[in-house]
Amino acid sequence: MTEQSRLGRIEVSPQAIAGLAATAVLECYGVVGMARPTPYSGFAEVLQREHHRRGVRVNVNNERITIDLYVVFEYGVRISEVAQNIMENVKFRVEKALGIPIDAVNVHVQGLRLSGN
Amino acid sequence: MSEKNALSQAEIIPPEPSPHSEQLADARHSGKPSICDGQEFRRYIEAAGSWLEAHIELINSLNVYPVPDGDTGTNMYLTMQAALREISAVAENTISAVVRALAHGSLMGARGNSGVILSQIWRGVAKYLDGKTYLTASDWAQAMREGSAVAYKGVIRPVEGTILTVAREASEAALRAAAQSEDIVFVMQQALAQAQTTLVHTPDLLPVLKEAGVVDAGGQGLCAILEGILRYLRGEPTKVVEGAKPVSRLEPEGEPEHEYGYDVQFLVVGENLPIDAIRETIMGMGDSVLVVGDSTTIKVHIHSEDPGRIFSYATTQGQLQDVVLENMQDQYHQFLAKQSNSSDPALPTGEISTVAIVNGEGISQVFESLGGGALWQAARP
Repeated sequence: MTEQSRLGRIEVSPQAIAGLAATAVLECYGVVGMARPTPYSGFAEVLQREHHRRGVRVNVNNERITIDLYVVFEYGVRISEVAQNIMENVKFRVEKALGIPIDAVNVHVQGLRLSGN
Repeated sequence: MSEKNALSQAEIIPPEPSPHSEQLADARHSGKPSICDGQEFRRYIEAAGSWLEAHIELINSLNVYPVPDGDTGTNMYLTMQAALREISAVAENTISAVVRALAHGSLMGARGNSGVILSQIWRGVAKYLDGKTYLTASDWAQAMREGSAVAYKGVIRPVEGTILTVAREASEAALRAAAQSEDIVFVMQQALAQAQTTLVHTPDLLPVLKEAGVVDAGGQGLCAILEGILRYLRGEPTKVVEGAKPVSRLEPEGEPEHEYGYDVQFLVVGENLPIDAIRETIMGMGDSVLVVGDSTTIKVHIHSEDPGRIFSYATTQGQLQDVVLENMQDQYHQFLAKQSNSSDPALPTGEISTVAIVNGEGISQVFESLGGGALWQAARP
């Protein structure tokens, strides 16, 4: 994302946006991890804490931003509702930080975690 | 808005006393170890639901985190409604069956972050109470503890200063209370007292709350649920009399000498409404500001000393609808007067009430002796 100001240019890299989005995702109730985007279904590679942003894909096309999130949920939560909460939270946080509207936030649930007792 | 209307019309069946619950009530009042079966527990949850309903607006107005969209109260209420629908279909009279329905109904009907968290709390409660026929005070404390533990597992970084903190500290207080007494009323009372204390401290734990000058909305919702149950256990009404504005005792202690001004609520209807600009302008006109909606309908809630200015501005933006203007100073004085006059009997809030029009002091006393809840003396023409 680039923005021209009187003194120069402001550029925000997709990775920075990914970092922001990842932080917003992890705030959401029901999310217990992020996974690497994979073309195969059924094998979720859960990312370590420091690599969370790799579970986010940011697409910038003609100043339109779409964000794809690859997430792992806690077993037993209402998936559609948690996904909806994530979309709202990510859109709100990223738009607030960037001041640019987000076109779409897509949530890909890559796996569910079953917590033991 | 249609959703809001539907909500206010939603009927909640008030707890009806059954012969069985009277026995339980006797046990409560005599301070004997109290027990509770499935149907009695259903009434706990109904009471929690109606008391939550009475606080929807208050809770909505506190909602600033994670997304300040002013719907926490509505979401929690809809989640509880879904649970109650599920529970009403349960025929079995065991705790186990009722809490299973509670967990399942709230899971399927979970709305918003707070609703999802609430459903997880109930899931933990149901997990602990699985297989039980009756509920004891110590079961309840343990179940609350399990509810809080399950809720904490659903998120990577539990944020303190939210409903999670309130649930955890309340359940710990319940456990301490259950170690001292087998009385479920005592346990509930201790849990609620702690929940309210924790709620008041949420702004210290979560800076965004402090900046907005509010306590956590979800935490407030949980307090309303616990308070609803406690009110039921004490035989106090949980349904707010129509037309009466719910006054929360849970609000953090503000400056008592503060001027209250007016509570202003309305809808702005139009096309391409600049919501951000409107919010910015209205923010400067008072406090407890809530401006939510979209480009065609905006809901505004604000406390202000000078409502005229707000209406003048809003009419330049679009058409005004559903205007509500209330004198909070007046409400506050009424509230204080009501507080100081504690002998004032509670208004009857049962399903059926009888209205009697009488023509003299003597007959009025007869009705009073028959259990009339409230009497008004009509002025003579």
